[in-house]
Amino acid sequence: MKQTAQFDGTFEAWWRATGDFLRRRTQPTDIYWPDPFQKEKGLFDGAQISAQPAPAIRRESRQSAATTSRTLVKGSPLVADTAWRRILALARRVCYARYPERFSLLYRVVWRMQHGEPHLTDLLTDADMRAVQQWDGAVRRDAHKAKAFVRFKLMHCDPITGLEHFAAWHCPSHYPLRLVGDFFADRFATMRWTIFTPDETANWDGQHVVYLQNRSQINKLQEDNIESLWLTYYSHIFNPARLNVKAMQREMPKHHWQTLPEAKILPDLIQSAASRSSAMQGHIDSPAALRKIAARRYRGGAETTPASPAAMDTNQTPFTPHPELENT
Amino acid sequence: MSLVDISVKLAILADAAKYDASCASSGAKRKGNGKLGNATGVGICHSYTPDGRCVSLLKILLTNFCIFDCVYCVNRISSNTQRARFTPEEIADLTIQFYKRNYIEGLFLSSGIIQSPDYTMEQLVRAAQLLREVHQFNGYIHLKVVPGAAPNLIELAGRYADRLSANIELPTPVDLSQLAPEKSFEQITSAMGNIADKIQIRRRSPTVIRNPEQTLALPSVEARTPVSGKLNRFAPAGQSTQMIVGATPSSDVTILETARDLYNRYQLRRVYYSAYSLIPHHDSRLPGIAPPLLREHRLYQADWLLRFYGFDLSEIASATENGQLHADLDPKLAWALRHPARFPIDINRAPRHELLRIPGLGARNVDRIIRMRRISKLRLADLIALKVPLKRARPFVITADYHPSISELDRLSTARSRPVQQTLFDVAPFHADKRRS
Repeated sequence: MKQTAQFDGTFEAWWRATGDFLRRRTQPTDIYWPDPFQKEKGLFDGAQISAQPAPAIRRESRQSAATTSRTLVKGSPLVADTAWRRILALARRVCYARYPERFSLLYRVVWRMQHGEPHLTDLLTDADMRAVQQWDGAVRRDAHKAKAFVRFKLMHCDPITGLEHFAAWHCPSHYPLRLVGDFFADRFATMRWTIFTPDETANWDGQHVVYLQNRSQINKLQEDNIESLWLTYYSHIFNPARLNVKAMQREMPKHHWQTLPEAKILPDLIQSAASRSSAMQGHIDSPAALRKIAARRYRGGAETTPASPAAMDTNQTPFTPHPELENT
Repeated sequence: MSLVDISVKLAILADAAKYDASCASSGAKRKGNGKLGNATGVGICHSYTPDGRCVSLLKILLTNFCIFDCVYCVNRISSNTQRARFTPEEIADLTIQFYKRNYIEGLFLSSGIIQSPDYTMEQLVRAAQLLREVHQFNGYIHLKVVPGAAPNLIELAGRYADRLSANIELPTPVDLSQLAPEKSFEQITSAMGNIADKIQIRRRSPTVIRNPEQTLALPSVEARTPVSGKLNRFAPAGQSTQMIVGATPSSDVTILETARDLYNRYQLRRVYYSAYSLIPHHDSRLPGIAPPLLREHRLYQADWLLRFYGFDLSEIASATENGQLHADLDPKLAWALRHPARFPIDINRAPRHELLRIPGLGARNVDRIIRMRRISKLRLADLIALKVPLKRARPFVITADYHPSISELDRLSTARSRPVQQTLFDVAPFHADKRRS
């Protein structure tokens, strides 16, 4: 009869469960690994799964992984430490892939390593290892995109302390939140923030990152007026003469567009690129015309050739200042 | 300043900055330490614009007013473009606001030359100083170095910035004197030399992160802190430069020669090749049409071969036509076709530097192959599993189950080695901007 693994879906919990099964020599085919992230709604809703400070989790898991691997090695064909480290590094990410079979795949690989295939992690063309590699790549990319595409909006600023609370709504392809929580905590330590995703939430209170496995659906967070400046920047930093929509979409796939403020203006930018670029090509000035423009810009526009910069009064702007810019 | 005013200026000064290809935010690594911002060592592209380029930094000019008249530049004094100027305070505020919303990794600040190189550099340094000392900003800062600025200003710039760059602009001194009469190769390379020296000194002795100073006067510019006598930090992410391609007739080999010399002399992290782009109100001395973006791509490929694949410039030059890289062959394949005697190479036995010569095989896959072949002999199927483009690589490799016939390589070299002149109207299917350092 199949045994059901009891764990919360985190890498640390999977590794603990794996250690137990291996010690009892449970065959990979005898275990049913549920997917706690795909659970029935309501089972763990709102339950606090892990409330330890993020760095502590990391230290603790590393230590436990090392001790577990030592006990596992006993009495089985020698599996090198480097091989353990390699598979654990992979598992740390693969555990957060959106594939229900991920836990059983990882267990099977570890089982095979212990049962006559200690070099399995070097067989990059083995079917199981290829799946592990591929899923690892997918989660790695997804985590990287989470670091890139999470967009915070200012929700609240404490009038007394000045402490700012930001929130973001992000829709990843996998479950990368636990892999990027430390990054956000380190980068935005001075702020308070919450990242909502459809499957889990991470919250930083200034001390700890707390993860909640709860389903949420947020269609709109409140407006943030800095966003309009961001859109201005985004539409002016791109060169319409080099339009390359394919390259843009390869790196910024459409499913992320719903949570990216700049995606709203993308269609307009693409559409107007051709006319903006041909407008550039229309203006060709002869050197004589350009010299005239240059001369006008220098103070005392009567001169026909630009004076050398050194000859000018260095305390004053050498060109006629724009009236609006006088006091900036 | 209202948001609207800022927005107007931002539009002008972002427009003016977009011709600088660099947007890399990599190379510096430090923890946040409770401040706002950190640097992870690998750059994060926070967004992509419709030209496929990544946005990782707030890339703006302090001002696009400029007293220089560089023909290729949209901000030259003789250009009829709209002008604006930010204050260092506005730039610092904008950077912080964008950073907190996770739009950017930091700031890349450049400027037109106003009044004098020293005055301009001082303004750039001031913005960086405000970010570091007033806002306690710990994210990435890339400052443009104005050639001709005083060495003490460069010292300060390096203290606040992660990366510094002085643009070489054009491939040869002659090109530069024709299109940028106020600039000189010598002045630009001497700024690079100055930066390289300062970075070199830090490699040899320990540096400290400067104590935050509350004063807004520019602090002392001594390289050592008065307290510990240790060196202040200086541009931990090194320096880079940019060269405009296609504005002058200089060939690819000339461009690569200059790049190689710069890499060797000044230990640059990156040379950016920027295909000359048509600018509004452009000068009739410039070509009326931009070079194909494919040319940029081929230059980056050749640059990579020089730096990471053990190629010598003479080897790359041996596979060019009149000094131009092939349009329809990547430089490694072009070289391989010219040197059939070096092939086929045995995947299961050849040393790393030979594997790197195989067309279609990247450094990453080479390392994977070396790891895998310790366990078992590799077959063609293994290469497919590694996603090696077999069409390109197959005639050049021996695997456990495959040995190419000599005629196969012969056929390939006669069929493909006839050079096709690249026309100006080629549409570039490739894109090179994601390569960062």
